[in-house]
Amino acid sequence: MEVVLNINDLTYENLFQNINLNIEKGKIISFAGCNNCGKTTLSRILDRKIKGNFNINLLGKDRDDYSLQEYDSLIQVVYPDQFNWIEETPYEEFQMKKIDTEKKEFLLKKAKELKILDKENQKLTRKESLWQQILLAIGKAKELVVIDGMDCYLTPKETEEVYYFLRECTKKWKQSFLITTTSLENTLLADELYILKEGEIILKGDPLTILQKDNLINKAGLKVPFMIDLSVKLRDYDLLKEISLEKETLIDNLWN
Amino acid sequence: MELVVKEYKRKEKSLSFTIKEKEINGLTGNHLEEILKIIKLNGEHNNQIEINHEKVNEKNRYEVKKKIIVIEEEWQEKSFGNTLEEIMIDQMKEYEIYPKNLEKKLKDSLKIVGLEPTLLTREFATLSQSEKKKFQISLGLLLNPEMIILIEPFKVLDQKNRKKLMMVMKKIKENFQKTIVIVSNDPNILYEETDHLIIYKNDKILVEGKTKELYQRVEFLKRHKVELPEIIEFIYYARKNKNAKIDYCVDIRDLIKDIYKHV
Repeated sequence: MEVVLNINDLTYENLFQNINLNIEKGKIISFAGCNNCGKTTLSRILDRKIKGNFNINLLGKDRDDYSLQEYDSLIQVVYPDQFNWIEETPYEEFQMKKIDTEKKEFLLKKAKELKILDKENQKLTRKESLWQQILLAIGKAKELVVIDGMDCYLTPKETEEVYYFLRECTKKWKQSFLITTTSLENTLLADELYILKEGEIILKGDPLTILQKDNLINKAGLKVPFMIDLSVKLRDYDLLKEISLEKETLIDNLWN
Repeated sequence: MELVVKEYKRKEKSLSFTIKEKEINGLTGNHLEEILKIIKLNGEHNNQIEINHEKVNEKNRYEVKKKIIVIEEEWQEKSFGNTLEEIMIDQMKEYEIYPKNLEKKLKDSLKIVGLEPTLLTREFATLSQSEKKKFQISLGLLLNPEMIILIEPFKVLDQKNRKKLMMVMKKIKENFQKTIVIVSNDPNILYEETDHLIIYKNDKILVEGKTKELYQRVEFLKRHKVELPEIIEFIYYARKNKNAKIDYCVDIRDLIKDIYKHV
């Protein structure tokens, strides 16, 4: 599988110690950690807002070898509370950007479905602004979109909707996504989950496997989603053989 | 502070509800801005609102309003100064609060929410999401309100910080007899953290009462499309479909103990 981005031995101030992260083409990665663990700092490093001697490769090439314009056309970073508008409405913002026609139509369709297309930028809610930024970033970045703190202003249901949309994009254009979060609620929808604690990646891999490590997750200051938490604990008490994500199945397994 | 609303006329409907004194109240539902307007005393108030058994009128309204602080979900940018200290001082001036020992007051307000007093000289823009949220709360506490309304306070906070914040709120409630209102659409948080719950749906109060008892009225809540806490939903299905003899509870460990006994 082609690697879009790799971060090697990233060490930065007291936040990160020898962090390694590989993002493959067409994958969604969830990067979870407690407050102030450095999630936004990582996003800012990837956005080249924090400068330093980092070993970060984009499509196999040192990222410093890309011009700003080239880099921007490959990677975009979305922040939950930074909205930079040039035009009056999301529709006009889309028209201003250089986006492939087919992709633009697809993104505009989503914006229309969300009823934000012709709304004034100033009147968009946080949730709507975030959607607008995500759609624009998907349009602009050919390879990777980083969404920092996606769940800050979204409910778990709304976050789920974003994940499903990102999945469509990975299928259509093989785009990759890195989502930073403090909530593990929807991370099962990602391809890979990283858990950061005190500057180190303590867990990484398939989300369902990772989410079963409840002790380590709790120590990282995070909460295991209810159904997984319950299943794991029941399994530990020999009341259940397998993890169930659906309550009906879990209840059937327990009482049959 | 107890806030009682009696037959408040709104969109041809009449609203009655109580924000209980010295309790952690929960408020959930849709179009909550309507009901929040009433609680914040921003709507009409023709003797339909009572605070501590006293009717709110045009004369006392602004005095009472000063005792109610709303911690909004989003930071409301104003023309404050840049550092936390400057923002705090501006806020106190706005509310005409002049403490004897200003520095101590500012530092204590930060400490109570778990922020380092050294942050006073930091620029607000450099704070992380969670620090901004904690600072927003400390700014509210600085004004020594009688009622604190927190709108979706936990969205940017991790589990550990959520627990810490709730501990602070419980301490404030118990030690200083403050009334807390948590406005949220997360039933899990409301179930775990609140004592009294008001559900506002389609421009009316659907139901209000003790949170733990109220969430056990599953059939009623389902009929009105009210989202349930995950643990309640699980227990409800186990009782309904398997006749499982397990009791409604809040803590997942209690649920496991019950399952262990009855499976």
